[in-house]
Amino acid sequence: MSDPFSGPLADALILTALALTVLMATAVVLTRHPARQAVVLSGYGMVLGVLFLVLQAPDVAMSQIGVGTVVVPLIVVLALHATRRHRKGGDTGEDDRRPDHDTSGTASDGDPAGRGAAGGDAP
Amino acid sequence: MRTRTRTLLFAAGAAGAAALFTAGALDLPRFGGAVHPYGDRAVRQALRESTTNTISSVNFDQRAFDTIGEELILMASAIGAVVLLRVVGKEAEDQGAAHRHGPAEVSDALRIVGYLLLPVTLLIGVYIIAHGAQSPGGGFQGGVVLGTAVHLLYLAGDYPALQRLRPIPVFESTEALAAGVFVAMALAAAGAVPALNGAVGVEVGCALVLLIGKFFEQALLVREPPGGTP
Repeated sequence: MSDPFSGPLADALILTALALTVLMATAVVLTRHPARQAVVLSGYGMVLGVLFLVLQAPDVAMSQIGVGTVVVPLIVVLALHATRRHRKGGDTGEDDRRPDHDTSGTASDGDPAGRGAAGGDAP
Repeated sequence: MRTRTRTLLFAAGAAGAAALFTAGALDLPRFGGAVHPYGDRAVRQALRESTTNTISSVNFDQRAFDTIGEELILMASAIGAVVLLRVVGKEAEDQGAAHRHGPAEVSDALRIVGYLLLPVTLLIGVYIIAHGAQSPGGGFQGGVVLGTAVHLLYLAGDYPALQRLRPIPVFESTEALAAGVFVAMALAAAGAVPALNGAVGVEVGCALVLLIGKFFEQALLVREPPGGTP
């Protein structure tokens, strides 16, 4: 084929991107702590964006990275913070009082504890 | 409804959906094939209108009606957030400036990076909107970048500054105005891709600022006085 975007190398690239996507999606499901899950979800959005880029859809990749990597995790983190604050009765200090049982160390959720809640806490 | 009935109902629905999906997917062109019947037509039409980014041509010219629907969905969700997350009942709202997340609590590195990235990111957002007709990007993508970029100010530790930068009432009316302009233009002059890109960019940017701004208020400012509901 004369098309520079096909051939064994392109297939390998697409397969790699697909495998990464599967890996990250599994990591999102296996992460139990909501705040950390938001961060892993952000990574998943990024990988999905890469997949779209590899499949020659840069417009969709841009939307995906903007919405899936930034907006959705940000809103999740903010909503988590708001619910915790309201549950404690208007007190801003909190965090990490829940004994989180992060299952299985998938490589991607090794971010430092509580970093996911950085959207708004730590007085 | 009993569990058994529910399972049966779900099984019937799932089977129907699976059958329809399979029937619909069987005749699709093969993955990575050389034949793109829709793509060829879309590209030809886009080039005839001298819009080099075919995706933008599909969004704002050939399928402008669909885009109207999407914009109105986004607007409805922004309105929903503003209405649902208003301060109700016994809740009271802190002043942003009185809030403890002041400039002092963020490390210098994060603050400098935030302040440096803010203008660059805003510029990228404007660029993506302005060049949407020529290169990958467009109103939606650029609007998302613009709408989220302002929140770098919060990362930089300056929530009061963020509040001054995005006065909610102004963004509410701008959002409505941009949505109206977009609908009017899409009906009157579908194909004016750069102008439509601009309207969508403003609309999406405002909608996201409203949406995220409301969540920020809930997370940081709104409080229930002690003795409220448990």
